[in-house]
Amino acid sequence: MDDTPAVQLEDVSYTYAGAPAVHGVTLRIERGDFTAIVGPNGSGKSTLVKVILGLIKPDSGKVRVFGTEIEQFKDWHRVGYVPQVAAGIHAMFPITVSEVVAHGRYTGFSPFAFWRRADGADVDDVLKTVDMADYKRRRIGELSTGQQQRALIARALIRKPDLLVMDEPIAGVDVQGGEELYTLLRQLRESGVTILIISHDVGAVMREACTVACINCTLLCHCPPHELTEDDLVRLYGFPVEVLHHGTHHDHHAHGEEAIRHDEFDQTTPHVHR
Amino acid sequence: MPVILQYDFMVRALIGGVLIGGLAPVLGTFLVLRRFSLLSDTLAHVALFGVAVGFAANVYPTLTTFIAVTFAAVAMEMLRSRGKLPGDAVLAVALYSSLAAAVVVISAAHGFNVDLLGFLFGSILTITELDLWLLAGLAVFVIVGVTAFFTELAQTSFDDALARVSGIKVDWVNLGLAVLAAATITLAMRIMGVLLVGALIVIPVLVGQGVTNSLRTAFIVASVVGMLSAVTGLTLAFYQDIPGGGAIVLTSVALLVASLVWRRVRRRSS
Repeated sequence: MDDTPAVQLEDVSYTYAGAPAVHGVTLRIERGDFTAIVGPNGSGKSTLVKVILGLIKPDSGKVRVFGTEIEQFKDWHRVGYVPQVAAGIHAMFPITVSEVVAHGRYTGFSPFAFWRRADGADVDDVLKTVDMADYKRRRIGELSTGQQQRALIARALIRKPDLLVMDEPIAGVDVQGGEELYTLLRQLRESGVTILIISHDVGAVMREACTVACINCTLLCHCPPHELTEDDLVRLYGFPVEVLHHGTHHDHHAHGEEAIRHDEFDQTTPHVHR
Repeated sequence: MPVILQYDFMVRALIGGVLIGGLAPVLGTFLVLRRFSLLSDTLAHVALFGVAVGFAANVYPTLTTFIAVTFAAVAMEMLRSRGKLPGDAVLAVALYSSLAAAVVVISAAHGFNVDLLGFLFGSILTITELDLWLLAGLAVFVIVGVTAFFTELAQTSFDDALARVSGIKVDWVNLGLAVLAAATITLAMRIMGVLLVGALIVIPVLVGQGVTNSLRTAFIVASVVGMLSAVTGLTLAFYQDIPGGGAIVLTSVALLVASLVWRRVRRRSS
């Protein structure tokens, strides 16, 4: 089996408006991992994801996706991206949920692709997966933030990605929607998809993720959640953090470790005290 | 045969109107979706500068206009995409500087003449057979281009970052769109006039956006509304002896109002 990491960053730095947004980050995300990036607002999480996806060019360092330097990367059908939709999509934009999802099938230079009569079954299937089948003919801009988020997840899933990158997918989603999303992510991970997620829902990602990357301009730590200490979280957020304990849903395989059943030990969930 | 079709200049105007009416909203859809509607208006003012240079230098004005508008469209797109200036500031700077340059050139060429006024406000008498051939060629080019790269254009308009992560060369798509918009404005201004050409690029698109949820259908509706506005407006212009550009824009505004009323009635009934 190819053991090239899904994502590899080497000493990546990026400066925005004269201030370092990301500095000296070296990070390796293995294939099949569920990695959560956590950190306070303005800590460089979204910047780091944009660097990984080639949306911004780092000032220094190297970025590789599936072993290929991002500047040369062409296999975009292997990457699904779900951006943050907290601001919402403009209500006047005339595009149906079905059209948004169908666009996700096409990557790169594909002239006349959208006009070929494609089988719509894959759109229907993926919309069912995210429980949006009833909304397929609705204008996406008129839906709630949570529904828009699910439509964009469907758009990412239709290309059957090997790497799924999500920027705060829980933002604007209710508790039930959040739990449904994590159930879906669990299923995807079981099918071998590498997942990289930014989230402020630290408790949930520590329950679900196999590794957590703590970012505050620099990478403070990258380890399985159970190895994360209270000190790490204090360093990350800058104030005392009380750790609660929960069980988890999956095994750890990160970094070549022997599989460990998470149910066998306590799981950390930070409880913030100011 | 109706009287309107017995005049060659009106037949040319109607053919040109149908071509422009169908063409302008196709490109306009992508501009409006990017909230870049005023690009067309800015380019129209740049067109005035191009026309002025053409008259001053005694060169075919369509050629000088096309060069000026294309150069401006590419420069504005590059400034906007590289974040050197906010998008609306780029438009404002280009609009005022080109208008100022046009005034200076017109003044140096000893003021307005009748032909220049025709370019400003549109004139159905000024459309030549060459203009029609150029329009027809552009129409074929735009229709093939937009059909071929519909996915790329739609994804780029919907979300720039999502398009890039789909491997789409967003910068090239944006540049291509700017150049096509420049060519359309250059040719459309003969009928519409520099000051009104932007309306035909934007208003039919708003009608399309209002009456359907689907992007593909919105395209078709916008294009049909553009053609309907052109034919109706030119017919009114002929029989009522009013300016063609103004009549076309007022017809499209009437269709926009009708679509808004229809949408409200439909919502209430559902």
